[in-house]
Amino acid sequence: MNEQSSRINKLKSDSSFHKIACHISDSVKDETYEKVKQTSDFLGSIVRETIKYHLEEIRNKNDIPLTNPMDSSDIKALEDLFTYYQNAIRTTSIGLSNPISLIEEWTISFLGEQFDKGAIITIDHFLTELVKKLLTLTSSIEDSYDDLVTFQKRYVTIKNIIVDSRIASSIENLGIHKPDSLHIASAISHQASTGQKVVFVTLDFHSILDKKDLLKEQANLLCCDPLYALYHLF
Amino acid sequence: MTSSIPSTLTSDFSGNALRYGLLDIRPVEVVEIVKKCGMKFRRIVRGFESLTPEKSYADMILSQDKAILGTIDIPDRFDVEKLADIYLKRSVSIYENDAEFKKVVEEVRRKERPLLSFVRYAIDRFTSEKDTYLEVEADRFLRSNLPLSFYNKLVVCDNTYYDFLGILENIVRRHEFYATYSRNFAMYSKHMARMKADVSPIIDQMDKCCFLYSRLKKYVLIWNSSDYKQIFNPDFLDIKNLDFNEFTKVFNEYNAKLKETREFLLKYNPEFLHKAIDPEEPTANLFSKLVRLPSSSLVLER
Repeated sequence: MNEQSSRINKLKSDSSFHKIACHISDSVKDETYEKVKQTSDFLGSIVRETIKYHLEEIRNKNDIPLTNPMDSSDIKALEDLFTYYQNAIRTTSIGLSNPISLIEEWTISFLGEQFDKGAIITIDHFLTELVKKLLTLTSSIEDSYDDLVTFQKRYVTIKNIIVDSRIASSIENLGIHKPDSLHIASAISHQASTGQKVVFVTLDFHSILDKKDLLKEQANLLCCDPLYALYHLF
Repeated sequence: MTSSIPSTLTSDFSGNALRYGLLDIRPVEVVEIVKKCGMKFRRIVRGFESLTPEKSYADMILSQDKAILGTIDIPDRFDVEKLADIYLKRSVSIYENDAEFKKVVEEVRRKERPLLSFVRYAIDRFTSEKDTYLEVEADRFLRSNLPLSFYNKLVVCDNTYYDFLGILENIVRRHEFYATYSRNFAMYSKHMARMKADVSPIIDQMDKCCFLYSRLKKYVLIWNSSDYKQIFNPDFLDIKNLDFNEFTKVFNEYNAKLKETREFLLKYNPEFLHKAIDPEEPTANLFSKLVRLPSSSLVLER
């Protein structure tokens, strides 16, 4: 995130210093919001359905009251749970192991910190604290999203661009799928309708930036990392 | 299990409490005779009196609850009048038992406490209880099958309410400062009238938002309660107990008003939504990594 933030900060300062307009298309606006919502709901369901269910199941199996404070046996129960998912993903090759590892690190580090502090924590308390952390973060993200996107109080403005479906299809033919193809088609349509030079800025190295030469050659659209946006305009 | 016991200043009751303390007042000048060193002195003190002493806190709550219950579908197992009565009794009981809040409101009326102190009190009170509100939502989430994003929208309202108090504080501080240095009572009254004119639209806006926030919560809680005892804290909030169309309507109306209110507050403080998120904080770090993964990887099946 740090590395990404500094790249976006460079774009922000370039935009402000050189008075360069930064636009977000409706398609990007909607996708961003949906992605944040999806991530938030995903994390919530992992805490509520997966972690809670497993911890309680193991306690019941071992005849340990749910109200007893958590200890290292609960951490080992979580280790089994995460290992199960890692193995399932490895054997079926469905999905990425990344989310599991990330959530595993987050939960176990939090519990470890509580144990190090000598805190007495029940399963209920542990789960509530995780949810509180998520709600605190997601509500802050909503503030930032509204500030930047909904109310456009910073350096970007929303552009309502009618996307030509033929352009979107031609982008898909280059191997760029929806919704990225729609974002790129919006930029191409905007460039064509305004006659202004447009630089499409993204941090998506794997599905967009790796095809930047193709996009330049076949769709006449410059794509780059936010670090370099300014230099493509001059 | 955390029970939901709001104080008089939670967002459910916000506008009422602030209206009661800030708008339902009139500045007055009181002449007092004070004895000092055996001599009598006349002292003129400026304070406030209630504009509508007969209109009680209970009246305001009852009219709000009736308005809420009149705009949502209620299951046949409940009687609207009885529900309104239960809500009223609880709100009045919270108010009556909230000795600290009552004292502060009465002090404003009896001129001992300036209005700025009242707003600051509201902020301090909200700050000290903010974690409890969060805990209530977290606990409800864990005892439900509604998505986390639903609870997030409720927390956003709590946060907006907190920011609204900060905006109110700035307005009241400015007017009270000028009023304090007024040469005469007429000027003093004029400054107070200006303050009321300035804070009134903000309180009205926040009230409308809190009304829909409270309506949404009541709708979800009532439809998940099997009897009157459960209506404040049902055992489990099941999305299947809600009529999808009605829930969507109640939720969307709340969400639209929340957005409108946030935009409205931006006119008073353009920076209030501009808050930095620490990228090193573990939850933020986790989230930033997950949000960049393809949507298809954010599914877990056992």
